[in-house]
Amino acid sequence: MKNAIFVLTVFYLFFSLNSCLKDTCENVYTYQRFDPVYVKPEVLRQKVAASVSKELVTTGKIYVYGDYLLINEPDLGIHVVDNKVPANPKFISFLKIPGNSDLAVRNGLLYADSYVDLVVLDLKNPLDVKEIYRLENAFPSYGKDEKLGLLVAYRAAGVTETFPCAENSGNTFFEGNVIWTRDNNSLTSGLKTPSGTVGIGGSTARFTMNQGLLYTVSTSNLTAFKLEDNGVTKLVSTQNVGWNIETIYPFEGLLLIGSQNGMYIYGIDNPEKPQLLSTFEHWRACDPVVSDGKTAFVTLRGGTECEGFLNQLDVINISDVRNPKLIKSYPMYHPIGLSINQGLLFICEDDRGIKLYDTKDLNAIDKNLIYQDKSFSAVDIIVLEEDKIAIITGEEGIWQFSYKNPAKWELLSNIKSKTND
Amino acid sequence: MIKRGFLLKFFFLTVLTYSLKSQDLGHSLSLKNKGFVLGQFSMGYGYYLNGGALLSTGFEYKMGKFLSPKWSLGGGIAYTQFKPLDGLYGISLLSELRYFLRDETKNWRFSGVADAGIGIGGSRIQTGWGSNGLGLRLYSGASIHRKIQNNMSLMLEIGYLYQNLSYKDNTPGRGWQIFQTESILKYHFRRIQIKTGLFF
Repeated sequence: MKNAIFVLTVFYLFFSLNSCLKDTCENVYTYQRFDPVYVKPEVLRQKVAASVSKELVTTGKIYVYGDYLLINEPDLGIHVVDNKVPANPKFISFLKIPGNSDLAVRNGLLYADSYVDLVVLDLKNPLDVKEIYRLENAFPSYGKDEKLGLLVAYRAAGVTETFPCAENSGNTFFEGNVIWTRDNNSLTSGLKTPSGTVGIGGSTARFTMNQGLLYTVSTSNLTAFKLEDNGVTKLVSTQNVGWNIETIYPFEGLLLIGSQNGMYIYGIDNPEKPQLLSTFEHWRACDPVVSDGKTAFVTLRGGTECEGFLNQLDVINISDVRNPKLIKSYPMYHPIGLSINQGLLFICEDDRGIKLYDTKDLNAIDKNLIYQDKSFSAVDIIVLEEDKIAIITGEEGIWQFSYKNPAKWELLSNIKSKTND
Repeated sequence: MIKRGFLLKFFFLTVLTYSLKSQDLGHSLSLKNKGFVLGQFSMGYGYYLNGGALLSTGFEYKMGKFLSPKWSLGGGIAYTQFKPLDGLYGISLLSELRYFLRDETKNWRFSGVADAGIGIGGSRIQTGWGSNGLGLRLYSGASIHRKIQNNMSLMLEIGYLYQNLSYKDNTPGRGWQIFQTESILKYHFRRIQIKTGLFF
């Protein structure tokens, strides 16, 4: 009997200590939250000037102007690098430009975005760069708060929240490109605005120049600015060109615009108001585009931010710009930036480095791989035709190679970014 | 409707049970006539979320009695469904300690049991859901046994189960979730279980 009481007591105690029969569940939810960025007008519009050079932390877009290499530090500004000797690039100054992500240069004047403003800087003396003009509100803003200032962007932040499974999620919900939040002070919708004698930009640029005009693309708009030699800049037209616009590339009277839905070809017979000539659509994917005039090369890549699952190179005949035709698609790993120069096609393949193809046979590009280097990650590329130099950006920094012998590249220099030290 | 995967698991566990029995491990361990295999069928009841009646099956191989004739130590594997609508299940390895109040000669016997184990979770329905590490299982119960043949008795048991399992949703972001990177559901299941089965 004693034993029976003992067993029943143990069982009762165990049971009573856990008297709650309710299941409980916690959802540890990790996602990207977009926090609003407010900037007070007086802070945003402080005059930009050259300051002492600083270390490269994160590699953004690059731009080549003469002997100078300009490197965007996303949202912070631009590094000016003396690249007379590509084997020994020297950081000479830093231009603090809040919210900068794109740039372009013409006649010694640097045009850069600063959140909603377009600033014009005199680059003739790179050690003493000065702001000479600012076009306020050149790009759309998300709104204004009397106390906090201009709502200029949304910054992605990796967030991990824990909450009961019965709740739908954390504070933020996503629907396509529209972001909803429970916080009244936070965002309501949208993504970041476009943040870039003429220099050379990469294939992922959102700024480009032609005939005294600066063309910029935002998520949905193509905007043309008229440039005066004294720096005065005027917005002359803006038009909706679709959705999820990513890149703009100029070539012989054409603007090739890459979007997540396809490639748009705009004519600039009337430069102040480009006209849509044709569209080449594809499944959703990110797609920088370059061209040699007759053929357009488009890299499609899938992934979270690009949606879609395509990873390929599309080769498109654009000799009839009103009727582009696909020549062939080639499967790729995860292609991003690219460049075409004298029949050589350079493709950045993300963490599988760089590839160089001969395009003499557009139907057999994959059989004409000349060179590949998988030892670094490659995002975008600028090719300097005269010197046969390839400048490549990647997560770990910037590489400069000589490709005088296309089958055997020579590393000239490597600028490492601090983020990847 | 019983899913094919469930039947496969049931079949697998049944085969495992009989293969263990046929090995007669009791003799190989020199525990004469002490080893036995338990097959059990249990029902539980839970609350909250998709709670409700659920079924679980478990099989145990008893290593043998020791300490005293009234104690036994067992090991086993248990498959338990927790949220039928989401198809959430746990497979656990467990060891149990059982104490009998009366000896084997009696027609009616009573026992108390406690087991502890580790399990992994999964889902039969949610594609992309997988286990996110091992979870703790604790169980305690009281049983009544009715001898129906020599070396065979019917058992009815009531007990309380706690099981901690976590499921990682590996489904890639889609549509409105394009920025989601990871979701880990950490469950603490609590169940009263009623088991019936045969002791061999």
